[in-house]
Amino acid sequence: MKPSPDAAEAVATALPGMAILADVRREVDTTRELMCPCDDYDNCQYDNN
Amino acid sequence: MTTTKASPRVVSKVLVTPVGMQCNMACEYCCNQFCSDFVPRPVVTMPLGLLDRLYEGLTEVASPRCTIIWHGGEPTFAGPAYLRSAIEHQAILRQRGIVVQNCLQTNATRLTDEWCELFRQYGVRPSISLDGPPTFHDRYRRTRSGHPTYGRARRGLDLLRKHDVRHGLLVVVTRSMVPHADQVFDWLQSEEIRHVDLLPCFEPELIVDGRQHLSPTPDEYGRFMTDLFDRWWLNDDPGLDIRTFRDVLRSLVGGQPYVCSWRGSCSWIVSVNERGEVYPCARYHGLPDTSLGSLTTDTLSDLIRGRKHQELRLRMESGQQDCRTCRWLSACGGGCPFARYALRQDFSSPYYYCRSRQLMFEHISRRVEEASV
Repeated sequence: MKPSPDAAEAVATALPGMAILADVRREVDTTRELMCPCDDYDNCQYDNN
Repeated sequence: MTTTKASPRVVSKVLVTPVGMQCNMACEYCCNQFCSDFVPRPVVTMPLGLLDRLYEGLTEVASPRCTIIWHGGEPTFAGPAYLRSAIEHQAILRQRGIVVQNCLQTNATRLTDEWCELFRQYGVRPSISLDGPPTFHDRYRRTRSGHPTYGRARRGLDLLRKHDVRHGLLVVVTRSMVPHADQVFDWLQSEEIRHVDLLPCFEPELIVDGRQHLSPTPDEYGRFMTDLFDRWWLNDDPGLDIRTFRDVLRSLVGGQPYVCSWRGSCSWIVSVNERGEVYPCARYHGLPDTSLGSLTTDTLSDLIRGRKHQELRLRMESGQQDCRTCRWLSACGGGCPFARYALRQDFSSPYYYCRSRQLMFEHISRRVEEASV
């Protein structure tokens, strides 16, 4: 028998690391520009980009 | 000074050792013992005039957001009045639109209410050197006369909390700590630590001869970190920020790591000692081959744009030839350039903790895949 969508979601959210991973993904998405040492991420020619 | 063409505003991290390597402790594993600069002597503080020269140079080469880390030795020997003046002299940077975040690395044994009030007032973020529970901390972190220091460091931590100062912790992972990742994690939780990193003890001169006794082997450090990661992952509290793990995760999900040792080059960092000598990082202090020059004779801008800095950068980057076929290179950066250099004064030496990083990447990427199903 398949679990209901609600039950499947509950299991998924209970997996280890989900909260940490979501937090890191959110941070990467919202602060991408801040990672660049020269502060001009889109146009930067700095090697580490 | 021969200079190459003007470079962009690349410096975003500046280390200043205002009292050089002077310290009130004599930790058994201290990296400064491998630095020829480490000679106990009366405290000499960097003149504010030299700091002004540094700040003037930063107006030309610093990125719009710049971190200044007061480092040592033990930088609190400079005194709170000195740090207050040093920060107020940063007005020249603020006037040019450069936002400065001041940080301070300390053993916390000399912190007072006055220090904590200053941190609060100026938004300085201290990072405390504390090696977990007393069993581990007091084993190697002792005063010159051999007294343990956990109690004093712990009081410093309490003071920071009392004044509501945001702070972090740096833990040195020694060989004796390796089987005890659970104990270390339990301690982090019981002490409600929010920001921490755990770096391997590194004794380059002993490692070269195979005589290291405090440094974990690459496999041991990798095992400790993966054990610790599993506790952190299972606990699943993003409020406990373990920097290395977050940096690995950032890389795995398409971001960039924060920490310099995961970024492959020191070319966006400068470090200045109390005599105004400039190096790519504080860890090179006293190693003439890596000195960029002195603020007493040249401007920072000239030193950053100078041939020596460019040559050093090329030497660092060419040292990573052995990493070219590694699947983790883009995420790892090839390891800390200083760690390569320190083994044989040669950037082409292998990165000693390469295997640790491979273990971490393999383990953590597997956990991410499991969580992403």
